[in-house]
Amino acid sequence: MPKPPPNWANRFLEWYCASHLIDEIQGDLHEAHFHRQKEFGVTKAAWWFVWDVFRFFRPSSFSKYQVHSNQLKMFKDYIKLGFRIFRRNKIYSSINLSGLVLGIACCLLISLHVIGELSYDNFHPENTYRVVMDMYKKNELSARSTPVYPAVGIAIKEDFPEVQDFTRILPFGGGVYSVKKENGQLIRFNEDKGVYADENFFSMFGFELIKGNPDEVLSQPDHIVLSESAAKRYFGEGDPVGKNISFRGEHTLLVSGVMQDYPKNSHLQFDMITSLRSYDNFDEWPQNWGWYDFYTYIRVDQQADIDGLSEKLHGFLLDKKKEINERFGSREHLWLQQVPDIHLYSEGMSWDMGENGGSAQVYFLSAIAFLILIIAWVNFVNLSTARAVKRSKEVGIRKVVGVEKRQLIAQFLTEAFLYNLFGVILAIGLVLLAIPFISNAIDLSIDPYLLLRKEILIGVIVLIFGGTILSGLYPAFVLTSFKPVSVLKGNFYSRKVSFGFRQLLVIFQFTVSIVLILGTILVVKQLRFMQNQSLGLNVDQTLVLRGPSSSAGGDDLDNRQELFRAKFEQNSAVKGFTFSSNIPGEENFWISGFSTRQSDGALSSCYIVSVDDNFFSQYEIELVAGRNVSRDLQTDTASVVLNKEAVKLFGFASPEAAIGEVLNPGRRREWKIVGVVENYHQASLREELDPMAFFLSTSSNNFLSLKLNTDDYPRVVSAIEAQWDEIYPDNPFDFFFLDEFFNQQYKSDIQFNAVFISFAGLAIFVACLGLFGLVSFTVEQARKEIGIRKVLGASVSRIMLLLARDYAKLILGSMLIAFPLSFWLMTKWLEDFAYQTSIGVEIFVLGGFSVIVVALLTVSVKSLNVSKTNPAVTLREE
Amino acid sequence: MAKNLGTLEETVLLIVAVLESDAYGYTVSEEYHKNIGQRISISAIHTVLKRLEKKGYIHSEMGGATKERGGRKKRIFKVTKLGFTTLESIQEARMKLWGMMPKYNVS
Repeated sequence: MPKPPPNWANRFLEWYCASHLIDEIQGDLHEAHFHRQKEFGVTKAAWWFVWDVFRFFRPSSFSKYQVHSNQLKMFKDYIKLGFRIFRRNKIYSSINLSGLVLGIACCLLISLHVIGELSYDNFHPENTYRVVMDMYKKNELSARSTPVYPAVGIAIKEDFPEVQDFTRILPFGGGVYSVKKENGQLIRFNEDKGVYADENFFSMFGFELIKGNPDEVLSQPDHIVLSESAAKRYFGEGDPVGKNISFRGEHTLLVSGVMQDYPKNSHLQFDMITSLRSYDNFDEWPQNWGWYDFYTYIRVDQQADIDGLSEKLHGFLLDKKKEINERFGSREHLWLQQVPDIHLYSEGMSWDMGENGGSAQVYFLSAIAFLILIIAWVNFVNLSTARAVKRSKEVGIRKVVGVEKRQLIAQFLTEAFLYNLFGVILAIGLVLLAIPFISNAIDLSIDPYLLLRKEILIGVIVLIFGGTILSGLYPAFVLTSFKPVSVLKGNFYSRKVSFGFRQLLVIFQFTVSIVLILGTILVVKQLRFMQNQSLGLNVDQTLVLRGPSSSAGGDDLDNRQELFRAKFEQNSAVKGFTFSSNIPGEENFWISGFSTRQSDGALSSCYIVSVDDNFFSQYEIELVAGRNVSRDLQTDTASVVLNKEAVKLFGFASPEAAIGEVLNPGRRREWKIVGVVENYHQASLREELDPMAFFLSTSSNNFLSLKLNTDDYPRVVSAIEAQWDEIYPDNPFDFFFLDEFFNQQYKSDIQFNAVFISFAGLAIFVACLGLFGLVSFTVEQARKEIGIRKVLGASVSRIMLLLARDYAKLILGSMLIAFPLSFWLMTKWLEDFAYQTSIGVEIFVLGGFSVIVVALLTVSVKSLNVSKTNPAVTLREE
Repeated sequence: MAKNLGTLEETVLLIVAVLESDAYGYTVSEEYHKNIGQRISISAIHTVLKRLEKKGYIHSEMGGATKERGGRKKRIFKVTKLGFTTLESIQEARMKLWGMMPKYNVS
């Protein structure tokens, strides 16, 4: 399907083009666009179209009616003048311009990122909502759960006529998928983006099917839909529909359709969808109000009263689960979340399917971008007014020959306009150059095609004109307010400028810079703190294999696990070996409620990990009371080890007191507490410690952790792979090192760090550019004064001090404002982290010191130059 | 007579002649790219065509619209008699010069 050219460019063409030319021009461009798409791709063709539209933007394409007035001639003149003045003062003009370019480029880059973030899930049918559940225990919010019970969707649709349809997603389709090729070769992959979904999945969301009927692909049990790239993985270029694929070795599924790969801006990311009907106890679900693993989406009638529905849903579960709630002292409320809101507004919600962004981060980045832009504009104002002195004679002469003030203002505004215009143009170029680099360096996805969006275009125009007004108006008024007589007489120069607008602007710039620098130091410190904090366990030299999930059924995997374990007993490179259902750094979805003898039936939710008896010793998790579970004791299949957090959760007085108590999971048999271990960090230090209960498991498990004792990792890993392939030929060998895996949780923090550092660096750079320009001018003006001082015996250092003093005062002033402000902001930012570093005096000392050094260096570069000049040279002038 | 015809203008005139009754902005620019190897923007082609028309080497009329053009009509250009004679005289003059070319041993 060919895409039409960018609409705004097309409209722009229609707007300026004369009606007798529109046929040939627009027709030719459209035709060219049509053909170029096939040859060069959509993006390139779109850019080309825009470029052509601008190429045609010339007088010959305009309507016959032409303006021939003096006004227009004058404008041409102003533009010419603007260029001349730019050229005459190359250094100052480039400082001015580069500041603007950097500021605008930052702003554009961040806008692109923000637009990308805001565009999440905007392609689904309207009126689609996700049903989310707030869970309260003893009147305290214990979790905001994104999955709900399987019965919820069914009951909502039955009870509320305005709910047209619902669909459920069950996230248990991960594991080994395999296909046997004709030549006997087994293609196998570990898939983690596999789910089960109701048959109407494709009518609820805007995902496209390439092959298959959207209403039928998921209607039969054991049918599976693959994404395009997954289909390629297993079936190559051939048609997968109608072929078999096996799941975990035991289940054979029939491929019924192929869906397009999901766009990046979707909170759902699936490669394999199996029909929900395939799941074992599908028919019992309408009565199931206990198993909350079903992500449920509903579509509501267009005219429906959403607020009314939300209100009814709020109390919906109180009726349905009355008995259970009363017994356990809990309650649950449902509410509706709009699908496009999921990506940015899901903070604090549990067990979501994908990584969500944060609205806070988006606001934060926008604020920084805006601040940098303001700094750049402030630079412009500062430099332009500073240059007033040099241009005062020009203004004086113009006034004398009869130029009106209005015209002068127009002239200066035109200059500001030119700066902003070229600033924007160069900034767009810079952004295009920087995008590949940025996506590489900090893994922040930015789509350059978004630059052609209407929002950006409008933003750019607003930027140009708004910038012109904001940055041009004040200098224009300052410059035009000179009295010709006093200016032309020549006694205008003075170094001493009283505390005025310009000083205020410098203070503002430096306040912002200091806040950003202090912020950067804190962000770095917090990240270091998190990464260096003791986790309560040892994850070094640990190789983790994803456990096998493809089996021949029965005890097959358990038996093979014993074989695999035996392989390593003689291997000196492998020191330890343990199986567990979860590893540190992997989100734990296994959670269950337990009561104790003391709790009177009330349930407390605790995370569960099944481990074998090596787990604690291999990870060096300290046992604080009781004993470890043991494979050799028959009774230990009903034993449990808690961590200290769980001891606290269940209300035992001490770890010792917990030993011998029992946990009751409700229906099944009781679990006896035999030991208590020290807490360790299951997740990053952003999160609190979780209460955990460890069960002994001798059956096959999700993760195999191997403690290595070697320097030659490649050799050992390939040896392990060979042994794996011998025992698990039907399962892919999938491994990672645990320390790296754990640190991946800090990926977004590292990213944030990089973004913050670069922007803070830019801000201080732009501010220093401005300072440099400003100092240069003041020093230029004071050349004579300095000359006289030198003649009278002042030393170079004394003069430097004199010049630096003025600016030191301004910087100290901005510190007075910036320090308390940053302290407040830092405290706010740290509140997000469960484990916080201290704000500490050293941040302020370091930050303040570096700002002073950078600023004074900037000042002294120029002033040293001037103070060293021979007074004879400066005093000879005139 | 051929004095006021630039190289680009001459090439474009030739292309218009070659394309017979299918010469308009887009096709001319494509043909230019195909035969000369360089890209030239459509706006530049339009300028050249307009100039040639003003000088009387080509004339134009509005043609049919197609879907790819977003329903816009084409301006079809055709070479005039003056255009042809000019092209011929340029070619003749060139052939004459080539005929006078001594044998060079360029190695």
